[in-house]
Amino acid sequence: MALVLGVSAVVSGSAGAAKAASAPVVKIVLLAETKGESSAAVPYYADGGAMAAAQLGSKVQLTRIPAPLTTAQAQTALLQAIDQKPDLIIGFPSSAQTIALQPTIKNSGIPFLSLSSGEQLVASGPYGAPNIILIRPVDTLVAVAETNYVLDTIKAKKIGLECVDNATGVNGCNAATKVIAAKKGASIFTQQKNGTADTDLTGQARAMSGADAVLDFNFPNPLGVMANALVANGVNVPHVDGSSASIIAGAKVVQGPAATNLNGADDCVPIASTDKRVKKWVADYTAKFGYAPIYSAAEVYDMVNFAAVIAAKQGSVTPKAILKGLTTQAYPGICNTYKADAIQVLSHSVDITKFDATGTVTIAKHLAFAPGALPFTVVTTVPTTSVAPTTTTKAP
Amino acid sequence: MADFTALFASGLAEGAIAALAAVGFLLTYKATGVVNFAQGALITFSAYIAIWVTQGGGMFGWGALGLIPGYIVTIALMFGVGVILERLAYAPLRGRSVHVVVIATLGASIVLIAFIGLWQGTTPRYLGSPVSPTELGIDASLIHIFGANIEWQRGVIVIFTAIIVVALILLFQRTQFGRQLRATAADRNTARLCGVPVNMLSMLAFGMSAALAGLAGVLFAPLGAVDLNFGFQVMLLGFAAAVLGGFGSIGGVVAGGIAIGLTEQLFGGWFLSDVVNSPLTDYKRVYPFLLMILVIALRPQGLFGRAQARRL
Repeated sequence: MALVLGVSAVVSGSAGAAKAASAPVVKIVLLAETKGESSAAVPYYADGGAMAAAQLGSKVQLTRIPAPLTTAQAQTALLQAIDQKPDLIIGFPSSAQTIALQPTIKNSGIPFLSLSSGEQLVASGPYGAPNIILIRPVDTLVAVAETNYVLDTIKAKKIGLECVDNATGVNGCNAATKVIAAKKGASIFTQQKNGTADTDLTGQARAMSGADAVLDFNFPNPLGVMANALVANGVNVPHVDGSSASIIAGAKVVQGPAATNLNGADDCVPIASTDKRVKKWVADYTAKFGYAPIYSAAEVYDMVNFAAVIAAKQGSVTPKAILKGLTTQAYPGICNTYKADAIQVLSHSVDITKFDATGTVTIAKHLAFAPGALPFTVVTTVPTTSVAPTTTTKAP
Repeated sequence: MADFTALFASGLAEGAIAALAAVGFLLTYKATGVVNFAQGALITFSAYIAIWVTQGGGMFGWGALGLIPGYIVTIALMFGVGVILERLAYAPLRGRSVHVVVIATLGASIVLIAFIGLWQGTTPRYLGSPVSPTELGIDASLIHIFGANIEWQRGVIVIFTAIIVVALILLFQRTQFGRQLRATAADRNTARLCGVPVNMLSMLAFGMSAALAGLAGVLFAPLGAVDLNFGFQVMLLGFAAAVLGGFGSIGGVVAGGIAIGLTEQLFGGWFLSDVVNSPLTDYKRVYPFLLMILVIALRPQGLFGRAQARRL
């Protein structure tokens, strides 16, 4: 009996070893907070990752470490993550965290999928690294896409710019300024600023009177204030922002004309997708977590699944194997079809959104970017995995 | 003229909210000698309670009809929250250094914000109003004065603040409660020796202060979005208003609040932008605090406060 048991244990162990060799378990650490962990924490990253891990079972081992926005705390979280010797790290939601901790990330050698999209983090950028790969489209490209939508689709000539006074607003408005300057017949009607926590934007809204459209690079709360202030002050023109638009429309902060005037730009809009697979995923997610997902949940879900696919195809989870998979394999996810370009960015499209009077979102336009493209930055280094295009525009 | 009118109305409404927050500070200060740094968290909490009771499956989730009773219930609940706060963050520390109590109120603020985050999450929320565009339509929700469109909500803020301020002044001047509160503020120990129930007064003061925070929250929230930092901004303005006006009288802090609001919107928004066309208008949030610093540098007791005399 003992001999039989011993043989079966060896057999099963061997079978297990054989199984492990063909599909190694990929160990992932997710650096993101979830609901309740801070005043800025959102549940999307954690829930998207948890859903993927639950479905993949033994194929992945996902650990989440809360990563607060302050650099010191984010560094602690990163060091904890590195201590766990994961095969892959997914994080941080803010470019400021990733940029500040780039040396540590780079030195770790662990493949790092960045949830933030600062242009500085691309492979050829000042804070790029061979092991840092951007999940999302580059922020300046999205800003250019929004601006082109205002100029080419809305056909606005006099554009009012509203810029929140931090990196998000500065980068966006700088990009928009360059695009508008290059467009014949278009001009910046006025450029206004606001704080991230401003609660009254009457002056800024009134300054937009006379503009054909308002292009906004803002945080959710001041965006909501601005959208309502524009309408209240008789500035009934298209109002284009980025991903903050979906947040405030979904929260019903803007309704009526303030909502119908508003356009946003999201990496993807799962709840507005007509794809059956995406619709099923949205239904499953909503049933599991009690709320509808946004792009960030879908992206983390996709990345966990992508990692499992890479591990299966490469047959290994060494940093070299994971990086090879991330930079060479394509993955058709819920949010996007991911394929790394020469500057190690996986996503190359954005959805321009529009809203009805109740704030319900639909996709107005799907815009794609050329892989490896950057609007204004000179490419100074070429990653060894592929050939990068060179550009001739001046650096900002 | 339209710009001036619009920004004057904005400044007046903002000043009125700051005044409500400042009066809340004043109440607890008079009763206990302590500045309650949980006031901002209480303003935030009140907005979320109002959302909870007036939306979805809330007890007053009837749409527009449920808003006013929902607000009243919110303010009543906030009174209870204030009493609980006094019991937990002040009463056990009575007699300790004022700095200890201030830190305790700050701790209470952090705990309250964390609770709200766990309960309601961090996604911005919207609180309706009976006079908002969603209830009345765009045109009916605006007052047209000298070419400017002013939201009715701003008018409601100013009117209600004025009513509350007058009521509080009458309360303090004409009622026994007011006399006892003034006696406690003048000399707590002597007031106790004279039979003033100082402990009960501090509970009531915290309760009333939290109710004022509740009123500030439900009045101000419909103008924007509600998130975990919503009340903090209001608290900063309220504190500046209280310091500017002087912590001595309701009239003083109200004047301080109005000065705060008008400085930001009229000086920072209208004068620097429309008259002078200066890029310094981008920093209009700073000017109320610069004014506060300037005033207390020249007059440390604030505009309407009384200088404290000390017998050497």
